[in-house]
Amino acid sequence: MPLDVAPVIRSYETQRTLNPPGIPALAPMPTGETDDTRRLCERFGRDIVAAGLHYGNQVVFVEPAQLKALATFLRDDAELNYETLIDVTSVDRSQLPLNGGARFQTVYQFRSYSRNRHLTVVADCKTEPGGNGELPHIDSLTGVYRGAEWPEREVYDLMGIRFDGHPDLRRILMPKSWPNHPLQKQAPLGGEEVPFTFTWDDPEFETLGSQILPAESAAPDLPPGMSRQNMVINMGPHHPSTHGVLRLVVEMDGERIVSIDPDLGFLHSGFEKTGENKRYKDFVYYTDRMDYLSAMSNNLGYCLTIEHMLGLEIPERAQVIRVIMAEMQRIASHLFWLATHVLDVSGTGMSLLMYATRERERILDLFEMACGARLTVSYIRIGGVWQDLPDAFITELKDFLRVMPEKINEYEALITEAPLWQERLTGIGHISADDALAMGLTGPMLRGSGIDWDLRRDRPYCGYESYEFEVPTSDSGDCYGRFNIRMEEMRQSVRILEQAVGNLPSGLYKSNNRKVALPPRAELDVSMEALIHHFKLMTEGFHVSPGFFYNGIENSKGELGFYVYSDGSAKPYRLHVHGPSFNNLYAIDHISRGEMLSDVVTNIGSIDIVLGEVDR
Amino acid sequence: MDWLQLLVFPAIRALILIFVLLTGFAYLTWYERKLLARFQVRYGPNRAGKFGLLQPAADAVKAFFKEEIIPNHVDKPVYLLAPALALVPALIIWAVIPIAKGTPAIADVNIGFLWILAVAGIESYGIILAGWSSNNNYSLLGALRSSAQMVSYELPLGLFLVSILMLAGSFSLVDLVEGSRQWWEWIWLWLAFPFFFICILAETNRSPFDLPETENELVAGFQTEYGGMKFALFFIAEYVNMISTSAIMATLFFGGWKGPFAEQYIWLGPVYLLIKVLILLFLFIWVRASIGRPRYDQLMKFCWQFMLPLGLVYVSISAVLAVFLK
Amino acid sequence: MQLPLGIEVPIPTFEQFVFIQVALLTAVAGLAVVISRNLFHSALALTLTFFGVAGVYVFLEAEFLAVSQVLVYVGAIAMLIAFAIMLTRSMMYGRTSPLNNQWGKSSLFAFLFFIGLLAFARATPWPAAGEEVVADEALIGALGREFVTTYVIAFEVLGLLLLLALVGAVMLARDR
Repeated sequence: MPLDVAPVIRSYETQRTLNPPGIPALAPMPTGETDDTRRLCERFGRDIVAAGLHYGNQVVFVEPAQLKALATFLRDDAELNYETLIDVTSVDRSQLPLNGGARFQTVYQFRSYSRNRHLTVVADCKTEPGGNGELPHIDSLTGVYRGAEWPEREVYDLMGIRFDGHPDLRRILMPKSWPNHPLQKQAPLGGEEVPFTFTWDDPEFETLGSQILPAESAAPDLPPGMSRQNMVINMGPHHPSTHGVLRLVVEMDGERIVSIDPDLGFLHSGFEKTGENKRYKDFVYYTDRMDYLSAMSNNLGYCLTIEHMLGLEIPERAQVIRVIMAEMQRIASHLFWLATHVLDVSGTGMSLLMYATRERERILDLFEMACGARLTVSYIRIGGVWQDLPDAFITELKDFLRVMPEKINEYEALITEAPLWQERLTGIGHISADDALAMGLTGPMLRGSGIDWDLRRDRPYCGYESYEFEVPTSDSGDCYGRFNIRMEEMRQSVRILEQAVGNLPSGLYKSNNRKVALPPRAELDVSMEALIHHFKLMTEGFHVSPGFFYNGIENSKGELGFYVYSDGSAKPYRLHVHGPSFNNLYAIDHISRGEMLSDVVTNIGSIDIVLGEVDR
Repeated sequence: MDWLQLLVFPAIRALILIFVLLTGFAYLTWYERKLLARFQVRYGPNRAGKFGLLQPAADAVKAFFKEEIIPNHVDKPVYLLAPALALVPALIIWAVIPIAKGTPAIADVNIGFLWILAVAGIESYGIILAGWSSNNNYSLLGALRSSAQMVSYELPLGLFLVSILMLAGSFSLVDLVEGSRQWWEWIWLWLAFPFFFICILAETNRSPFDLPETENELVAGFQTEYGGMKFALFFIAEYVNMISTSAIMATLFFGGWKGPFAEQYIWLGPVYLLIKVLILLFLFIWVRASIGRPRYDQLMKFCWQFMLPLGLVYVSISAVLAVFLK
Repeated sequence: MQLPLGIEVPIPTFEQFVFIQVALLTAVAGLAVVISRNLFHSALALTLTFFGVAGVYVFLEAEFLAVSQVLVYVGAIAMLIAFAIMLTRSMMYGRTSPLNNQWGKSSLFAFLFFIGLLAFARATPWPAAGEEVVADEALIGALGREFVTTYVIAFEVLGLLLLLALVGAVMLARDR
């Protein structure tokens, strides 16, 4: 039954007169050229619409007919060697001055790990009339990069772009019966009637209880390709080890896994749609809620993207504070991963759960010191950080850093060397390097398969190039390898933290650019100028010049990317989040096949997902 | 008189025993929670009563007053029978355990050893019936795992029991405790204790061998569809089982009720037995707090490839010892 | 005890009373095995029958046999049957009919077998009552001695069979 989602039009949302006449504007074409764009232009000639640099990223606009050929060439050509497709997203440009251009564009982020290159490919979608309006469609890249499967499903689900040749084009985040594709610009933002009431004499109370009356349990539809000949069990969305509301439909032969179909979207909150309707600075608070175990890193990833588009200089002290926060968050996130992973795999790890949470508490206490919040911190803001560190922070942090290495050793003594633990993890969830690249895995999942890549080291941001640290990798490709990598990453984070604490410079904790960052509170009392800036920022926000930019940072779980398309106004025209958990979770089917039910739990733990980010 | 002798007196004894065991169960949960809390840098129950000593009572009241829910899709008679069936073997295994000099808990039968084996054999029925009747894949998997696991581990368990039996030369546990053992017999016995303990862990479905109810894979295994008092019965069964098996181990390996002056003062017997049982229970909880769970197939492999051959070797050597040294 | 129609009914002793219960249980459970409409329930009833038989052994003062009965039949064989039924999922929840197209013939054979048993039971010269049994400990000893003397070949063949089964099980459990 289609849902009734009649839009409620709020006048202030449609009032465009606030914006200068040049807004909205299309993103400009890329300029200049690089080796790679030159080579692509040579190979594809007139099929390349435009190529060059845009905001420092290599960008290629390609004719949709040649997209698949281009992707194949990118992957196979020895000089280009773009091994992996990081992300697929799309833009609905219907509210931009198109001048006859295609309404929908798909955007691909390619990455070459061996050459350390990033390439953005943009392709217009072909449209054909049908249904109610036009049906955009484009070639699927699943044949070239396996990992395109889920991102393309996501684009289909949220934007309604059909991918020709996609093996399994179903909705992935929204319910099957959803009436529209929510990221299309004409889809309403909210305005749905809430099916609850607070009035006792509302007739709705009569029927409220009826949903829990006894009913025949109905077998849901099987995902395509599964057969009832085997045992099909339903893990989740309330299963203890799916780490949130993840539902896995598991087909088993005895206790051996035949296939797994993850069912996502139970926690889908429409962050991207929301982001398109918030001013740039207001979306920081939403990023906390995505990967709620590493809120700081989310803040950081988003802020870096916007700051790069603004061309904002960040003071030295703010940079170091950001590094401190991001690394503490990495440790906290890994600690929680360790706690739950051990609990899932060996059950008795309740002890380790408690030990790891004990240390995580200290990190959260430190966060509380810095910003008053523990989980959803919103501490890192565009232009710097929210407020300066309190005096006691560094002392406390030093004390924590003194204790932490011993604690890590303690965990290792408890679990790493235990034969039962090794037995459970070794050889389980094996991913070869080629598969990891093809599936677009990032973070420890990628390093676990022997790819030596860390965005902090290889595409440094926040001044990471000035810190000394190692990037642990493992050739084993199994859960034990990934386990060891994460344990070692905690040590390396401690090492980075020690260096950062050692030379924390004094100075500004946020940018002095009053057009972007709020003036300090004290200034408001004495300066009219500051008051005006404050008022402007709080009511209108700042504008970002038209363009688009993808930026990724190394989260505790992998590459957290933000793609922002600006039309020159104070709100992002399109905001896309590339969550590492989402892409990494795609591997669950691949790595679990032929293994046992217990190993599925091991694999989920080893992938390290947070459902807030998977579903976004 | 006939009726009185055969029915009423044993019934009274059994009732006392059940009362003691159920109280023991209640305080075993407290003991375990307190101990686990110590292992895990927590406090454990400390709100109800002094040191949380009333916590078991609070839990019991809660379990009693929970709504009885019977899902629609279950096989009702079997579903209701299963929790009771799970508890019964845990209780009746006590019948043959000597608690003081010349005093078994219920009856001094000359088949004490076989009684233990037989009761261990029917222990898994409650779990199997629960798993099957729940009509739930998780429950079924739990039940399958449990039956396979228990049947497998009964073999080495039986082999160790047979070895002890051969050395003791009597089927009666009362005789076993009261008879004397030579020093090499004790050492030979204690060599087998760790392995016997492993078998017992598997038999009682205790962590790390709690695969039938692995909450992280099978949600709650065979008891997924149970709630309230019916769930509590399974819970009681597991804990009473722990107590019973601890008492058996104390009897077989550590001289049961024996201790200084226990021969003169009969009442000391149960006290010594209690102390030994408490120490063995501590072992159960210690293992739970520190050892991770193996995978199901690893557990089975361990039984068939290691425990069983080991048991066979142990039986052979014990037989030789029994013939030539006694 | 005098019933109204002049029928003399002896007051059962405790033993008789329990025996009647056990015998009834065995017979009813046996009947349930064949008429239950659910295969799993049949298996459970079979388990109950085994229990009843063990009870009968107890009345014959053969505790050893009784416990062995429980150990082997209830603890292992019935368990394996239940296991097998659980593994065949198609039979799990369906109401299967206990009657297939051979029910006529099989009931005839069962009836003939029952007649034969009856005749055999009537022809056997049962001891009147109260024959003294050997002390249990010695009984088990004697049983063991018989195994390694009179019935040594049968015993050894059985042992070999079980050993083979054991070796097979270990082989199956090995890594593929």
